[in-house]
Amino acid sequence: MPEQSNDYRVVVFGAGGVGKSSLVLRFVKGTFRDTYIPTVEDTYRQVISCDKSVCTLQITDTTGSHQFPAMQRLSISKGHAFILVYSITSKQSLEELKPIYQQVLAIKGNVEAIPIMLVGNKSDETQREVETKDGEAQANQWKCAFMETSAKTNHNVTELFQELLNLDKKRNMSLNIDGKRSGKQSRAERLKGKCSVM
Amino acid sequence: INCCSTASISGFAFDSIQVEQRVEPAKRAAQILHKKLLSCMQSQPGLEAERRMKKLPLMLLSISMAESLKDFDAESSIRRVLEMCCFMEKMLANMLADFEMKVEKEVLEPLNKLSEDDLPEILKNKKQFAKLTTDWSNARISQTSTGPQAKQDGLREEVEEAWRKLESIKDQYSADLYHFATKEDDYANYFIRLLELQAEYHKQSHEFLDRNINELKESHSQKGEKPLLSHLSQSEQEIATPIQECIYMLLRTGMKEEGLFRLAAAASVVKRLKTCLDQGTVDHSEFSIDPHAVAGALKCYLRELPEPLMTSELYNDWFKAAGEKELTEKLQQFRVLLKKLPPENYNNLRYLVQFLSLLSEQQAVNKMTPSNIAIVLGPNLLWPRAEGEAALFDMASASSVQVVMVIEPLIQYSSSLFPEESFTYTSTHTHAHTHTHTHTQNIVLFCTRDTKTSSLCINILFIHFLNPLYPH
Repeated sequence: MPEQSNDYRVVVFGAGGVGKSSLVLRFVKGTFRDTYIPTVEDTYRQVISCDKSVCTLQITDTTGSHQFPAMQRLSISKGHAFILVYSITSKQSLEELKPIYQQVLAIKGNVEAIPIMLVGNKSDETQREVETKDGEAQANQWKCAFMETSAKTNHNVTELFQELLNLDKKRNMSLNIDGKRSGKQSRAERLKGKCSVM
Repeated sequence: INCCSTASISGFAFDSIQVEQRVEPAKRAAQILHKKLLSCMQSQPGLEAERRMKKLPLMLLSISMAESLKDFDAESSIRRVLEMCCFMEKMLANMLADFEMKVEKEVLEPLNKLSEDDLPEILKNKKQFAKLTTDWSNARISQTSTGPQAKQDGLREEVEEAWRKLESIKDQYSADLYHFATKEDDYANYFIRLLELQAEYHKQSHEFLDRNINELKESHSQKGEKPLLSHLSQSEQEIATPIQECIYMLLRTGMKEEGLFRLAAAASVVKRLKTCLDQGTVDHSEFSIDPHAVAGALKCYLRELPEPLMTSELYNDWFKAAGEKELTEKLQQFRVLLKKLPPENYNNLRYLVQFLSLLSEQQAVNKMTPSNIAIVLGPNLLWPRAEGEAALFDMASASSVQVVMVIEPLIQYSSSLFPEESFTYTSTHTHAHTHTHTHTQNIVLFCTRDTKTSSLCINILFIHFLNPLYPH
């Protein structure tokens, strides 16, 4: 697939069955499917605003079941930002993220400049194995951001992606193309307001 | 004449005779054992740690390993193992040098001092004491004979002189013996110390080896690719042991597990199981409780084969066949390809797919439809030959989708594609029949199906009877 230079690539990693696809689908299509279908690999595109212009947000939904090391390395080297998903109902799924994080660290070198979000999905579930503070502690250790989400109840999903984009300090990105304009407007209004006060 | 007439060695304050008799053997022991222990040392005594280590045979071995591994490319498993081995031998040499330094300081040197300085000193005094005793007796004998007064005075002086000397050496010798007696325990302790140092050295080396061998083995078995064929020819089995063992365990406890082959298992358990599988010592009860780990290990095994089970050679042919729209024609093409597989590959693939078909029958519970199984397991059965990473990326993501198109029908139409019966379904009342039937077909695993509940279980009795892995 030819990639445009102004693509902003987000890669979603996580063990099998933690809800990577559900999160991405909830974000992209606003729907939740209760079917049980593992992902091979899917890529979704969405237009976002970036530095007073628009660019394509490309979300790669990876497979959790059989990641070949070479493929994983490539996804990481091509990715700009990363979402590391575990399920709050599985301690093991958080464990599974450790080698992936190490891989990101190894390939990207300094991860502090790279937007990484640790996500505890399925926050609607009652059979919790990973406490919120455990997720936070892991995120602290990794110096990355942290959020708990539920693709099912649509909790924190849009916030997750916006927050991830906010983490990138080199670009000024917003999910909402109008958001940029409205931001400008509000600034203009504020200026206007100031003016009127003066 | 004073007290000197009764002079005797019995004047010692303690039981000197016994102690006296120990000095000579102690010296001999110290001397010979020092010599023999010295010849046990592999390093040159007296050198500092660094130089001592450099000359150890182990160190020379390590250096040779370092030199030999340069000739291998980075991917070579020999090189990877040699790198680790080189480091380990060096560490062992280090420990040995350290051990020998300690032995030298705490055992060899004291023994040497004992045999060369302390004990000879005592023995010298003993000799002197004996000589002066004789001198004194001789002087006394000549004293008793009559003669001129002056001569008698001279003789008496001689006796007194001899007595004084004797007294002095007696004190000295007595003190030596007393000293020796009190130090005896310390001398014995040198030998205990030797044993302690040996124990410490061996323990340290053993722990070090243990720790690193496991690590080495794990990384070796992870990366070291063992061809399917070698497994089979070694064991003279039709089905590769890891496949057989994993399926055996999954049939027992994994069939109803939601997301089997999809969900992640504890990596540590998977690793341990893989090691056990490599060594051929699997504790079924230990791993059966964790079906996801078993499924994970099976996936790993398939993925780490040097060539995919469905072969690289037929890679494109499989996709071509899967693209066939007409189902009958597609299955026919599959059959042709299955025939083209080497017998080892065919047998193992058949065994695996028949099991997967069985697994998919439980999809209402485990949610693993043929399609789902194909998605999560397919890429472990068929993958492109890697030709550079960039090519691999697109090929792999594209081929992963295609692979599903191949594997899904394979599972779905398993009974039609694989005419051989493998997992024999039977009611528990017809054992005798199935036994002979399956045995002729060289079948090692049995399932029995309770027709009422449609639940699956295995007839363990028959497995033990037929499976060459289990003692009869």
